[in-house]
Amino acid sequence: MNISPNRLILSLIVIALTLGIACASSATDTSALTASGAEASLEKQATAPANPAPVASAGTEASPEKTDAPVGGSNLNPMDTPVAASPSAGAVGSADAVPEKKTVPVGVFVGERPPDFAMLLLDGSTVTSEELALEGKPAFLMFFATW
Amino acid sequence: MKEIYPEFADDFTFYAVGTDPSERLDKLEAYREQEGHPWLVAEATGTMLKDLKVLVQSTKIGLDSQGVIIYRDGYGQGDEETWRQVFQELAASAAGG
Repeated sequence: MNISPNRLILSLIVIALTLGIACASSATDTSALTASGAEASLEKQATAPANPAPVASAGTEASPEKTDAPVGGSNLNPMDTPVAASPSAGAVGSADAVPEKKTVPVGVFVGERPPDFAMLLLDGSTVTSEELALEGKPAFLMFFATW
Repeated sequence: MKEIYPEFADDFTFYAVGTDPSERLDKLEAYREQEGHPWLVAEATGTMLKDLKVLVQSTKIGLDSQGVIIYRDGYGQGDEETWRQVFQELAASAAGG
């Protein structure tokens, strides 16, 4: 059985093309599956962190209660409200959850964050409201005069 | 108040802020020593008094660890029991409560 070289080469090319198309088709199917799998995974990730969110928002929503609270010593309940935005609360949700800072309106009443202020101390240093909050150090201010 | 604060001195800082611009820190400090007050004296800078709407003497403001006001009272308001409660709240705030 004599096969001419040209015919042999042509046959090989046809076989190679057939195999190539088959492989390419298989690869496309696989990548399509992978892509859809990744989307599904992303969707899961997008919905998963939503679980701790209600905890955070619940705390944030609780803050207006503070705002509504009347000024006075009898109202100490706002401190009982869990601070949803505390670092520990953020850490519970998921590994990539970033601790949020509690959103509080600026004002001078209970439940509000006072406007920025600065005080001069005897040693010449200055303490600002921002520093106090950053250090997480509570403060009690009493305004007085010596007379 | 001066009897209660020392119990909580490690938990929060008490600042007695002068309201009379003519009374500088040295005068406030002399008064503090004379009265045996266990807190720091401070002088308001800028428009702090105006911004915080400090309109009456002996206005008191408690700020929790996040800088949020948890207590505010004016002259003649509050008593030992109230302040102890406020101080406890501030201490709890410092502890992350």
